[in-house]
Amino acid sequence: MSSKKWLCMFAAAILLALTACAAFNILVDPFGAFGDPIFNWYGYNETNNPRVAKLSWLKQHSQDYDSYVIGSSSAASYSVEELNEYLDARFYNLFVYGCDTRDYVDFAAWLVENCQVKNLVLNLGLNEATAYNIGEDSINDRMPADATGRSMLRFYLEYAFCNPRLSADKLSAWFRDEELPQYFDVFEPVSGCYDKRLRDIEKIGDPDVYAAAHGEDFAFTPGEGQLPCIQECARSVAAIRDLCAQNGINLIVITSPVYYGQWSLYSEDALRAYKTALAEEVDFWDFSITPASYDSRYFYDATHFRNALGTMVLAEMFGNQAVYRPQRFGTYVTAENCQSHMDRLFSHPPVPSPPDYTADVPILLYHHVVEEVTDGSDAMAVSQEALDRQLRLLAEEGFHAVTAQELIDYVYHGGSLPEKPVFITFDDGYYSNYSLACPLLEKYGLNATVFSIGSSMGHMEYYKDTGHPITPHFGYGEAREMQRTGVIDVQSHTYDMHQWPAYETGSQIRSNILPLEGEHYEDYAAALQSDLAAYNRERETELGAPFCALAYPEGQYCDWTEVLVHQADIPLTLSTRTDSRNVLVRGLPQSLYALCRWYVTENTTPSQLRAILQGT
Amino acid sequence: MEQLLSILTECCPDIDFEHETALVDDELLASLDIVMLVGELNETYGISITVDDLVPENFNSAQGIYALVQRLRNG
Amino acid sequence: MSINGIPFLLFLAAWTAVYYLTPRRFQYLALLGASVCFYLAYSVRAAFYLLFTVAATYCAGLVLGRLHQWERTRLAQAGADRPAVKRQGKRRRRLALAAILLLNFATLALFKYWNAWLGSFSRLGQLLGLSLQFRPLELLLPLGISFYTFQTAGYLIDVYRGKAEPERSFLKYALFAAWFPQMIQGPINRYAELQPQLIRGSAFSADSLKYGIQLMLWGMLKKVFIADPLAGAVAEIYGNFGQYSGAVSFLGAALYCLQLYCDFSGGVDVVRGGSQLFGVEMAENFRRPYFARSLDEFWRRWHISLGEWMKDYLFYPLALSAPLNRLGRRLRKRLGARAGKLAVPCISTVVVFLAVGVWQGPGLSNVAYGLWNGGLMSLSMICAPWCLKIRDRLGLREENVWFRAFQILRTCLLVVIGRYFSRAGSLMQALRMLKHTLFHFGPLNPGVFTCFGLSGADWLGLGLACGVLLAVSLFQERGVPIRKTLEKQHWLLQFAAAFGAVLLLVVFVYLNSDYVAIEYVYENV
Repeated sequence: MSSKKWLCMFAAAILLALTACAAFNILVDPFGAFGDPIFNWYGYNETNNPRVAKLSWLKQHSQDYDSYVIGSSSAASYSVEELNEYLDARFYNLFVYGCDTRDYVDFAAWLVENCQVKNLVLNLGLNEATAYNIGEDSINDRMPADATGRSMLRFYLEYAFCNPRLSADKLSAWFRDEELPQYFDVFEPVSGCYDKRLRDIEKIGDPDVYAAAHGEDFAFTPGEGQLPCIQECARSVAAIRDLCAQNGINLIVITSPVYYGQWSLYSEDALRAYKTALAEEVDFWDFSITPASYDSRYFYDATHFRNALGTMVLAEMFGNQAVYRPQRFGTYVTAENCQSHMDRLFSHPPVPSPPDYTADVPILLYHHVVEEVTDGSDAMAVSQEALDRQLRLLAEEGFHAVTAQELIDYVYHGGSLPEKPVFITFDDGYYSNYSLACPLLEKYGLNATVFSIGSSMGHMEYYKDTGHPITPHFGYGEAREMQRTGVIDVQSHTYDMHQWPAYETGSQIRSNILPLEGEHYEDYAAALQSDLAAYNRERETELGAPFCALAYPEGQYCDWTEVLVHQADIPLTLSTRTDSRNVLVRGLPQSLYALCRWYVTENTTPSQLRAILQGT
Repeated sequence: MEQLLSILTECCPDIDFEHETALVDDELLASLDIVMLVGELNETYGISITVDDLVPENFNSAQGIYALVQRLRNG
Repeated sequence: MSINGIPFLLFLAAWTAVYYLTPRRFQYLALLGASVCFYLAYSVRAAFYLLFTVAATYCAGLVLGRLHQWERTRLAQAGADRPAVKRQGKRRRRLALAAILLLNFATLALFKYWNAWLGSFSRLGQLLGLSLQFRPLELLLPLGISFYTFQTAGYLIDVYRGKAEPERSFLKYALFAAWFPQMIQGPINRYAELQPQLIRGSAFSADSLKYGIQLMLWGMLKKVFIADPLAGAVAEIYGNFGQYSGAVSFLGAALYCLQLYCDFSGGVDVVRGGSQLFGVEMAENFRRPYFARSLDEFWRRWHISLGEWMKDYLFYPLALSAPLNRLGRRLRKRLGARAGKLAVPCISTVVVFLAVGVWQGPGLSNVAYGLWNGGLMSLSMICAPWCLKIRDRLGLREENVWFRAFQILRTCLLVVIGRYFSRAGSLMQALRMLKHTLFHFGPLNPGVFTCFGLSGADWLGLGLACGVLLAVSLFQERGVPIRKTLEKQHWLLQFAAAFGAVLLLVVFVYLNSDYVAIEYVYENV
């Protein structure tokens, strides 16, 4: 080849290499800038750049939605399902992280231009008044050019010639993808929200445990900080208001819950000025400082309130009485009442007292009850006599036994609990619970909950269909009788996920609810869901209602279990951990997750029992 | 010439001085060898070879070296 | 302006176009223009320093030329008085040369060593009972000062020796001194070889362009895919060698040898390639040094332009100087013929390598590095007869493959040990690290390879790149001209090679937003 030819070929090689890179980036499309033609994996794209990917998603799916949430990452905590129900709409949560109000205006204008919009929920925090037009230097923060009016050509060139490594990362993530979110796909594309399935199974309750885990996120020194961008924020809100008015869009503005530590960073004047400036432009729901602001357990971190709090906010706005909210929760602020609202907020801050919304509930765990303990009896068995003694102590000390439903009502609906509540549980569903424990409970005016293994119910002699003798288990006949008297409530200890390996013949033996070695999430989910359904099939026929509490066999569970169980709308789960107090928090479903239980045995002394009850 | 060859061979036993004609160009003679050789030549013939004489023509072959030595001896 | 960056490449492309569009008579001005722009883009202040040196050496060259002329005319008239005239002429020339070289190297020393040696000056003063206060100077190290200082010094010595005519045109001379590709990391070019190419100009040549581009690509690949990944690992090992076994220290020094070779030779390939675009061949700087069979040979294959410079302008003048000659004679009388014969080359060698060490940097570790090399080479001269005897006794022949392999490995080992000194932050650190290697050698666990910031994939890539480098080097050792051979292959293969190289660079460098350009080790020494 002559040198001239080689030079031409070299030029061609450069062009071809650039083309190849661009083609790779466009086809794999790690930002969804080109509509992600092959993978259609928006959970990933939105994690890389929510602005670009979400608008790209909407271009393809705008007909599926008619209402939108705009805000920064705290707006992720509004559930589109709840909004859909309250407003009879089809919501998409268009929040993006690291946003400022300039972006909100761009988004609103883009939505009006490109989609049908019935409702627009605009969420504002404090950050919206601290920064404006923070720029979009990084390829991860850039707005799509059609939302900002910048050069489309440049935008597409930038994404076509982005680092090919990003596309390679997406490919490699594709092969590691699982059902549950991982760091690279934290979005739920259809709703636009974060996929918080794993995040929201965090067991919350004991304030000391919470402080140990999150304390640093909530450490603040009060200051006299200013809010420099109030005017820009108000102007942006006014622009969105006008846009909505022109297009017949129902605009709902919320100033979202703020952790009080964050609030205390700023001077009173600045905070008043912010709210006043907003109220001059638009009426809005103010949730910034409420009793919940004073308890970090309602927050993921100082600037992000939990989904549970989002549920409370929406319930307040739409008057859903079934959902718990504290007193003085939200205020609808107008130009007229703004002044007085702020006056009251600063003169009488809504500081709650913990007994108003939290409750300590010790939980006792029994299994089998025997007439008399002998050398051969089960180590966990307790004699009739010891049980009598222990129940008497409870009654004498003024404890009131509560049911699973009472606990759930307390957390979800603001129901009340008696003073000194205690939750008495019996695992496995032995016949002795019916024959021996029930009369004793009745005697002291207490009640208990038995967690029965569905497949063992009514098996008085043998383990399932085998010839292996077992301790007798009561059946639904006894269950109905106990349920009727209200002394014993029967809940689930799984249908058949507490198998006794020695007596089983199958190849997949589940002695507890954990996934099998190497089991895939999908298979595990199917097995678990069918087990839950099997228990309910019998229970609904025999007792007329599904179960609401699940005690984990052997106390074992994992993240997958918690995700699936709560997805199946079972609000209360119990482990056998003893590492924290059970502190129920009104409005926080997580305070009912994997509760701790303390074994009470034949040899538990009165002082030990008192220690358990007092949580020391 | 005989004497020169024996000095050369003593200095660098691996080189065939009688036939090589590109001692420096082919890097057979390294700078260290040249310096050692110059020392020997100076000593033996009572001459003083200077930097200016260190050009490849003078050291590429035994003949070249011989010619250099002759030239310097004759002043 | 990083020489691998897009701005530099565009700069090259633009000036290449200008060069070939300029009428041949003025082409050298295009080269000068490029050089001036390049240097001004680096720093206007440094450009003044450069201008000063260029002007001073230009004038000195003219003065030396005049002195030669004066000598010639006087000689023609002198008749019997010739030796006296010669002596007088030489003395004058020597004086002029000494003055300008002193100025030249004092400038270099001021920029390179003043701040580093301040502490030592003060301590020396204290020892002598003087309280000396030196203030550190806020100096900007002019780009390429080592290279242009050495290069102009070489020119002046050539003029002094009468081997070169002084350049009368200031612009042409400035071009020789400031030719931009050599400013980043050499090589140190010879006046006689570089100057004619710079000023003669050349018609457009696709060959030049092609070879230039190919050499640049090859250099970039070495730098980006071998030297850069190793840089972090080497820094980690030298910085925290105590946390690993002694074997890892050794590994670090060995990796540094590889890194430095790919870094330095890669960088020189890029600038030589860049120069070649204009049809200007600069001096070769490396010839597969790790195939050397002795340390002496290593230094004829490593940083060749510096070695040659040292040989011609320091080693020979020193070894053949009158004082050393006298010393040799005296030793010959007192200690015998062998001692007298070896003394002069040994002393000169040690001095030369001390200079090489100090050229690399101001610290004592660099002095130690020089001593290590100079000492070993002297030792090998002294032991040569015995080594030969042992070799003959063992019946080994020079051509024996295993013997050659042994020699190559032995040389590499010595070089690696030397690298303990040249890379370490201080002499003490180098010695500690060496001690650590010797007394805590310990195991080299495979797990340790993940501790240096390199993943399994990184090591794999590194291994592949080194494999290619080794293959190419082996071919070159056998005398296969790589670029000529490639030319004869099927066009698809040629295309694949070019495309592969470009794609690698595009993906891992030019589109890679995470890519951090790592400075060349000898950039701006």
